Amino acid sequence: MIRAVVRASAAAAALLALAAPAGAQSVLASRGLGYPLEPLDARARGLGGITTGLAEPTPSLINPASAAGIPVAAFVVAFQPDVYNATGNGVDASGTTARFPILLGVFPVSQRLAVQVGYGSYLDQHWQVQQADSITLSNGRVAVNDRFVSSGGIARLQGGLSYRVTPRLAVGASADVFTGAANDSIIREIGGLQAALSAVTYAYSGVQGGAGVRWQPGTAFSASAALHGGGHVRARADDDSLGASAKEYASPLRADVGASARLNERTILAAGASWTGWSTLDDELVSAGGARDAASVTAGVEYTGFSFARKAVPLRLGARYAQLPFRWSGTGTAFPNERAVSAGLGWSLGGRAAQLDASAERGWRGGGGAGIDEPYWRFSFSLQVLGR
Amino acid sequence: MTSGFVRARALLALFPLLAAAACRDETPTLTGDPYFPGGSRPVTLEVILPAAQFLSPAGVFQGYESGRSFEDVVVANQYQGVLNAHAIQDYNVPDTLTYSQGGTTRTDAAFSIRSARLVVLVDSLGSLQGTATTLQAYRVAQAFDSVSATWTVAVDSGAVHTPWTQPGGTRGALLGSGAYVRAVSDTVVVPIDTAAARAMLPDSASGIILATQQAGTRLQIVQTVLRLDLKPSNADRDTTITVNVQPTANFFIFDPQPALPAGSFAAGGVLAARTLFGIDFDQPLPGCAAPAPCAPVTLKDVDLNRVSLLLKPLPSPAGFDPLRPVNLTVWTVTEPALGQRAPLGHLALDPQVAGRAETQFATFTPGDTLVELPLTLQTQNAVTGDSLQLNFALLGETPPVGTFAARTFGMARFDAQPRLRFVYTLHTRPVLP
Repeated sequence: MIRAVVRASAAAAALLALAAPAGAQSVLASRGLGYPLEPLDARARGLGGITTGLAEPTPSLINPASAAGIPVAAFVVAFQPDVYNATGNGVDASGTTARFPILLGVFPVSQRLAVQVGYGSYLDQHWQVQQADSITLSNGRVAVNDRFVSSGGIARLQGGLSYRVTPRLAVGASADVFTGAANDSIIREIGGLQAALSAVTYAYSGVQGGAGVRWQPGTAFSASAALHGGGHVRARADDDSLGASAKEYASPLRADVGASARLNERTILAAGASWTGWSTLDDELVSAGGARDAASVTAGVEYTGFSFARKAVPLRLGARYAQLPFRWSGTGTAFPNERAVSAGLGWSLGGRAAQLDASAERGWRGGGGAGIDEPYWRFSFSLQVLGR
Repeated sequence: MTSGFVRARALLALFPLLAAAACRDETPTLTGDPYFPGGSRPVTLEVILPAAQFLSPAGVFQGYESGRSFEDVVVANQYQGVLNAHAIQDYNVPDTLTYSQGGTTRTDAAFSIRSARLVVLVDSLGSLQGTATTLQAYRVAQAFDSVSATWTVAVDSGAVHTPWTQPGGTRGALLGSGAYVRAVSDTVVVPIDTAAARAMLPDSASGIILATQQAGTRLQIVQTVLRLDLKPSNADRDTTITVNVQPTANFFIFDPQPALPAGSFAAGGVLAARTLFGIDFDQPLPGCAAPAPCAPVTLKDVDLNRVSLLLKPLPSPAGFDPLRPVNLTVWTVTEPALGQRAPLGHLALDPQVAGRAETQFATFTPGDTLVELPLTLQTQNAVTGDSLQLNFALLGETPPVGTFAARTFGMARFDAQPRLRFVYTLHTRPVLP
């Protein structure tokens, strides 16, 4: 079994490498520190984006207690393509992207203790801006086109432990190592002349801690909570020839709570909320429009009474409302929000040795006074493989 | 391990295929200055340096080619008051005529010449325009050596040295003349007396001198043929056969030889002039736009958008102005101390894309007031290399340099104090939010 999980982990490493060139999920990736990404699988997405609170032991980068009691090693990978179309001040952009928001392996050490290692997305910084202009040279006015391209983002590598204290209570702890980089390029194209290119890579580092708890007073109800933060994210340029080349940001405190209830034998209702204290970076990011605390609420329902080809196919519906932490325009304008509805389904494979989930999410980013309107489709596919 | 797990793992292997799809991402593109991160808008500056700051002249030379290797022939009559040039040609009219009639091939040694004319194709761009020009064909009245003949010497083959009795080729009888009217045609037809044509037998030593009648004219001739209308003696009926006879010798002689003008750059011309010089690219550049005070920067601190040598055209030596555009090439030279014998390295000008072709020359068109020779890539390579002091040769011909290379009869001449132009963009780095 261990060997099988090792192989699965190797496949995950390959996926990790391939995930690198993924593009932005939103034009909001250009604001503040980027567009926040949540490391969720397709089941959670189908339930509206619930971050914690589901009853059964599940690999999770949000709540390290979530995996407690998992009977066998498990590996989960999610694939997430997006389509979006943004309009607003100075932007009329559409795009497609795809990424792997979560790669996570969980390994039970005993019936009570499990360890997990995973890699998840955190902040997306893929975007570019261009501007046509002209400059005066000795031979007259010459057209130029300036382009700034940011490629990359911040991810987190997580190691965690989960421990089932009692059959009803599990706790977990995790440590996140921030990683990733933003490759910034500045290109000036001058009519008839050689283009100029300046490039710098900001490598991200830093740590934060996490803790979680799962409480299951009975078979019909489960509640969970998780807390992350207490660390920092440090950006350091690969070249310090142009002066200051590093900056440190406090990693904001994030709290997640969620619960699920089994309404009947075939129906589960789940709901959750999260809050991230991005406003601690408000002063740091004042030139970029500032930052606010961002909360979100989600709710979803899962129905398992439907079957296809003699297999149960869980169907899911969900909804989500979230505040986004960084302004699109300057101070004085409203912060954007995100609203979405989602639907999904699952398909078990190989005698429940694996679970394939898929979801589709229709959402809107922006809002009155935010200066941006960005409807989007987000699809998620995830595969959870159990080392049975 | 169950078969279910195996299948699940196989499914996991499909995910990299999905990742491949991720490579088709479209990054959102914003427009407008407000969306640029602080400090990320580039700043481009320009500076033009005087020759005293960077130039090391190494000599002006010519004689790499001659009139014999010029692909056309030139005729001139007191052009710009000094230049005279004559074309000398030789034709061998065949002594037998072979033709086919009614499916039968026949040979005739008793054919008659009904008419003869020289058909002369003129390079209109390489010829003086706007002046009435009459092209005259004379018989050469003196034996000559087509290899060694010059304006003053008919034969100069080592032991034999025979001057022309008349400089420019001893003229015999006028065989014919034709007017060149550029607006009408690039072809001049010079009727030739049939008896004279008949005399141009393979064993005859006679030739033709082509000259222009009017003073102040200069023509560049691309091609000449002797076109004959022949009547066979043994044809079944009245038959005329037109035959084009190519010249067996076709060269031109001219006087005077072009002088290398002192204190200037020269390139091209009939004797393939070239100028050797060195450039010290290691120049401090302003670190900001004037008049703001700031520390200078070096070439390593900036992105070079354009580095070029600015040449100011000067009048060419009398008689040798280039009537058509001159293609200027710049070559690297590693041993400039060898002077005239310094070998050429590689082409140094920035490649230009013209259609599907890539060229590495600059064009000087008569009348231009400035010629810019872009050396950006060469400079960029030097910045990353060992030395910023480079030596070059300026030529007026495109590769392959040498015999029959595309060059003009006239020479391009430039001021000996060229300027060096830098257009560069300062390195920038966006400020972290």
